[in-house]
Amino acid sequence: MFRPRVIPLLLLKAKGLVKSVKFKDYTYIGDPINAVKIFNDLRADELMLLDILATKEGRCIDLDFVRQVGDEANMPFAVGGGIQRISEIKSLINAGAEKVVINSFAVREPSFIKAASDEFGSSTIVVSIDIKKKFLGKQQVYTEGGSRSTGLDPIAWAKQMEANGAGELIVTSIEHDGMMQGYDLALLNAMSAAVRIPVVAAGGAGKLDHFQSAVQTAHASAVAAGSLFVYHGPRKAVLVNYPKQEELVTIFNPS
Amino acid sequence: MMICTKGVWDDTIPGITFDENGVSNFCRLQEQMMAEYPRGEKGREDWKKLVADMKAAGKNRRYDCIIGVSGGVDSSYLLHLAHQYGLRPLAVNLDNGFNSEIAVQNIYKVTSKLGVDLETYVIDYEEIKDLLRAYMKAGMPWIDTPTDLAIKATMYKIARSEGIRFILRGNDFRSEGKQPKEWTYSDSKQLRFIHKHFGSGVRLKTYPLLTLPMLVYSGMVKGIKDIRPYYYLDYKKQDAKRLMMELYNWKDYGGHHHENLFTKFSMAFWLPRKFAIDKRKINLSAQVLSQAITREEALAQLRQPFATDAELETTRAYIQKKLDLSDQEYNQIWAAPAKNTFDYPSNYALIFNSINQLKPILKRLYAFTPMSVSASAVLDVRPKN
Repeated sequence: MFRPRVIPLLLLKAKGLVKSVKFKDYTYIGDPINAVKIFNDLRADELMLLDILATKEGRCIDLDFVRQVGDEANMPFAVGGGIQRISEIKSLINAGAEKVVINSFAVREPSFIKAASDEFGSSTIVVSIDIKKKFLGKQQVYTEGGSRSTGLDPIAWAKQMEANGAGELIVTSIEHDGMMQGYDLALLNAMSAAVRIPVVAAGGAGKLDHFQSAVQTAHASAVAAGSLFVYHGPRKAVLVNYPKQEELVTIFNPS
Repeated sequence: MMICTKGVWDDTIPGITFDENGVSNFCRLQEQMMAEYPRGEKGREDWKKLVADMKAAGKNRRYDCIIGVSGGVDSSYLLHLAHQYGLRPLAVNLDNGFNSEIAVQNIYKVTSKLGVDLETYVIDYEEIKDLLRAYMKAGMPWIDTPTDLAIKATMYKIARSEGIRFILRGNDFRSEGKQPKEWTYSDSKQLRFIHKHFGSGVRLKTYPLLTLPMLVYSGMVKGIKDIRPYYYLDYKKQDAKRLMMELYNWKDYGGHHHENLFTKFSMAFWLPRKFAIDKRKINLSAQVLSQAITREEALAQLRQPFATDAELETTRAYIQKKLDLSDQEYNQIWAAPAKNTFDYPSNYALIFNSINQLKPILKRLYAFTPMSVSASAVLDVRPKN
């Protein structure tokens, strides 16, 4: 039965795992390795880990950390944060990552995506696109953890990244991040209509129904979520969780 | 080796003595506790009175009580029981970075099904890591003390901030018994000392510390009381497990406290292999006395290994890696001399020497007589050195 990938999206800040609301108000939610181990035991489809300080600190996500993740994760996982060199991608893949996620540097150096996908194959290269409405303006692409506006139009940018060889786009609405009220369906819909490569929905999932609408209504190829997989109940208790396989099949194939 | 004729306590246990019938002082303590806290009709009456107190205090509030949950059977079943008695608990879990998938899922299942609110307190892993490493470097037997103290502190902290007056804990002396103080006594003063001398200088910013004055303040001023429902109510672990599996799809993890990987390491690797301490002797003896198992069954269980060598080695390697200990550091720690609680300063002597003055305070803090107080009548509880 048809079943899109469901991906826990984990943010790394210093050595801790954090969860954001609208790319701000970061809450510490625990040790990343323990979370990876639990997601592994819960049989998550895939994981995505992003180091949110790497670009600002001018370095790449830590290799030792990626190796530790690889030790605990049997599923494929993607890593991102500060990637700027072909050699870095090579090391990250050698450390166990299946895909790498590039955001800020793609905007600074769009040809890097071309070079990277020529070198490693497009399926290895994920471009992350963070989108927010500029004050009184239109939606545009933001980089550096949502702190820098680029003026780029999201759809045009997505097309350009596809043309440059990106294998997948992960599309996050900054305004929806951490709100748990659902994805930005209009944005996702426009995005998935514009490109042929998989579009992964991110930012806003608060219940499993949101996955369904991202896929059925907005034609996303896969869904990612943070809060939904780490928070539980009205007091937002930190408790790693992931739906059972049967549950996922039911969500995407409602009778 | 001398083994108590009624339980399975033996002469490896510090402070143990045997009478002319070969019955140990630990056994006498256990019998005394059982007499003090009868279950059955009387126990149910005592418990009902406590329930009424909790409901009265929780009137017009969202919660009557706090229940610490670990995903283990004791605390999971306690949630079930509280719900049955019409209490409205706030479940609290402490995350020290070592919770297992099974534990996390158990908490998820039980709190979801009962509709009980859950609050988690996540300690910054770099802090708890430094503390756990410090306890290992100090050569302490019970290295999971930083977690135990944090759980207690967290419950008081949340009780204070939520205005909740009762803390329910799943301890059951009938299945756990009394551990000798040399193995397990701990307090916040000692934790600070050990962290200062053996830690790497990580500042404790999120680690919750319950100091003695704060404990007294919580009880005397805020009126927070510690309650142990299993002291009063019929509780058989095996029956509770079966029921929890049936009703909540709760999952067994095998082994006492194995819901947390660090606790498992402490219990099944660190204590037996470095200190020749087998805490199961205390637990199983208590279960023999409360007739949950026979003495023969207990002796047979003690002959069983904690887990297979391969499984224990996997756990050990994981712990070493997660605590960032190089092979050299780990080997140094392993080779260092074994210490115990009396090798480091603590509040033990202070509490011991003022136990008579403290009695009225204890009454306010606890709905029961703490085991260490009952123990003073039968065990040698004097501070060493």
